[in-house]
Amino acid sequence: MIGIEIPPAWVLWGGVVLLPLLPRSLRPAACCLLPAAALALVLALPVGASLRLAFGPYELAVLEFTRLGRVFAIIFALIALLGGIYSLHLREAGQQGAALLYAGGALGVACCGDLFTLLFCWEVMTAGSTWLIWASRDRESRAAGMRYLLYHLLGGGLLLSGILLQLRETGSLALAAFPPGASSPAAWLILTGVVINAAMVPLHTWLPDSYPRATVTGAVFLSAFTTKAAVYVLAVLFPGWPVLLVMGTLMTVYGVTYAFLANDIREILSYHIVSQVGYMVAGVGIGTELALNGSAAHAYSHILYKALLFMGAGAVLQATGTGKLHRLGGLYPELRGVFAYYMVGALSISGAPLFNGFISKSIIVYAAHEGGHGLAHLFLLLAGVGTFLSVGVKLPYFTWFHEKKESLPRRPLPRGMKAAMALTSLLCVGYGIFPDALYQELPFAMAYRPYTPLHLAEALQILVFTFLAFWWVRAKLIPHEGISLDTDWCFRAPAPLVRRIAVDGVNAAFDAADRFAFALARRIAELSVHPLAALRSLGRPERAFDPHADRPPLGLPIGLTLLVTVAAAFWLLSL
Amino acid sequence: MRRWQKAALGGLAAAGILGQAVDPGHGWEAIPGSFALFGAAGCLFLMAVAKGLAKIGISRAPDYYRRLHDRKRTGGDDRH
Repeated sequence: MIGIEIPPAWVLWGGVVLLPLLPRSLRPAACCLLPAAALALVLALPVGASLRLAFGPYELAVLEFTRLGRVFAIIFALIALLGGIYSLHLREAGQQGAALLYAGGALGVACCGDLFTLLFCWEVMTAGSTWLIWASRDRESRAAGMRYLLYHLLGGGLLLSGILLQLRETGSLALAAFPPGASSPAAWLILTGVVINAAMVPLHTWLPDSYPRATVTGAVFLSAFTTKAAVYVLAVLFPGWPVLLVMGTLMTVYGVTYAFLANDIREILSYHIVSQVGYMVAGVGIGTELALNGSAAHAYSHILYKALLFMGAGAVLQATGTGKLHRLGGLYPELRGVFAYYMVGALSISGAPLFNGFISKSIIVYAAHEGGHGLAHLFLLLAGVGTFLSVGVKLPYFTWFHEKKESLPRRPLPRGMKAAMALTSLLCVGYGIFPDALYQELPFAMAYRPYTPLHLAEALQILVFTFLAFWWVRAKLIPHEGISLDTDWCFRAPAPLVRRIAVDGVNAAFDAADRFAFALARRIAELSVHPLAALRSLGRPERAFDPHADRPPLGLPIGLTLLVTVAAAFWLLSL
Repeated sequence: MRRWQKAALGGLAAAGILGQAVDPGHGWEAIPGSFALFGAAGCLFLMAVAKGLAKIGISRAPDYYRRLHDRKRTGGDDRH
């Protein structure tokens, strides 16, 4: 195996350098081939493969291939490939490069073995993902991208602080698990930095704020990497931390509640990322081998079905020009194929049997039940109800069915988008029918079986009766234009006041100091040239030159001359 | 809803109840139809909570934050 110990991220980052050198027409193909090469490398790398590089006095493990990291690396490379196919129509080198950079960062996180390399890949992800938001090039995406960037700089700063503290305390940069509830400030700083990327409530608002504003293709990549890379890091560093079980469970219910109120289809899906990541975080918090397997499996499944949902929502946006639920409706006759693909994703996220969400989400729910976390188990089940309600029923009903609200344009969909949706759908169903294809990749041995009569009964009853409850009250659920205030209100509402104090106030003070300094300099210059005139003009308002007022007075010199002449005459006469 | 759709839903619900009879589980999960009740009640509960939150003031006009910046000039209520 000597010779292939190359970090898979390097393949994609190499592509970022290569991309501008390629002809424009070859770049979309390169955006598929490079992730395919990275995927091949990930599959070929043996667990335990390692590559270390010296960095000053430290040795960085730029490659440390673990079983857990392998699961995440496979799905990161796979979704980069599927995203590349979805973006085949794209002719924008900036977006293509940003997507490769971003995917490479995620692969780097999954395959690295030290905190410094982790931080580097973390920040590379931030750079790539921010570009994908800004690439929409409108006012809203610029503002949302800036808020996204600020959140992630804060997270990166906390992570860096924690890493430096850890280095000072232990002298090691190794990626090693912190014991549950450790009191070390380094652990808590790192945890806070990581949970920002995991979109943990209440630090989650960057996600539903920015993902709906990203480009159609960019949102597919965004849905896959940042939060799941954070889940991977949580699983490596903080398994069994009780706070993660509590916060993860809260995320599941919080996300579905806000998703129900959202009007933008990609915002609904974004809130469901918060909810689904909540399952994974809760699994890490439970911390048993089964629960950690569940988190890894659910991250794998989630990346597939969430990308598929964003592909479907993006296709609606691409075809009609809007993603607002209050404007959509009656699209089924024209977008049947997209509906079919979307529903595969919707049934997967809802945990319907034969779809990949069923074989992964149920592991975490079962682990909560087996671990004696009764309340968490109930909330996780309730979040499943809310997921099907919004993503599985409400969104498709008001998008493809219900009445047509307005005549929207119909643009044809690129073939690459359709192919990517078809392939992702196949994978969602394939893993749902053959769960062992995923289970054999998990870090711990799996005795869990998803297809038992009780699990099937639970899923079928919940799905059917959630649908019936929706159907009963559907007339009262007509979407309206609007937004829902979230925790970001706490800093966005006082922003004008803070700007007045911290920006406008400071600017005014600088202006005043500027004017004063110039006036002082001018006065000193005038004093040096013409002291009397300068002293006389003190306190007078500044004005233009007035020849009558400003002409030098003649009385004084004439008087002095006369006085001197008279004095001289008297002196001469007295001789 | 068409007749075949109703029949499909009925069939799935029946399969769910049957599955629970075969493998009843423990505690409240052993009660036949308990998941059905949980699904329907949970759905209505979540909708009520979300609507309640909207009513107490979290729902706003789409340009809420933009208007907030010059609220003193525009005035008025911007609740949705």
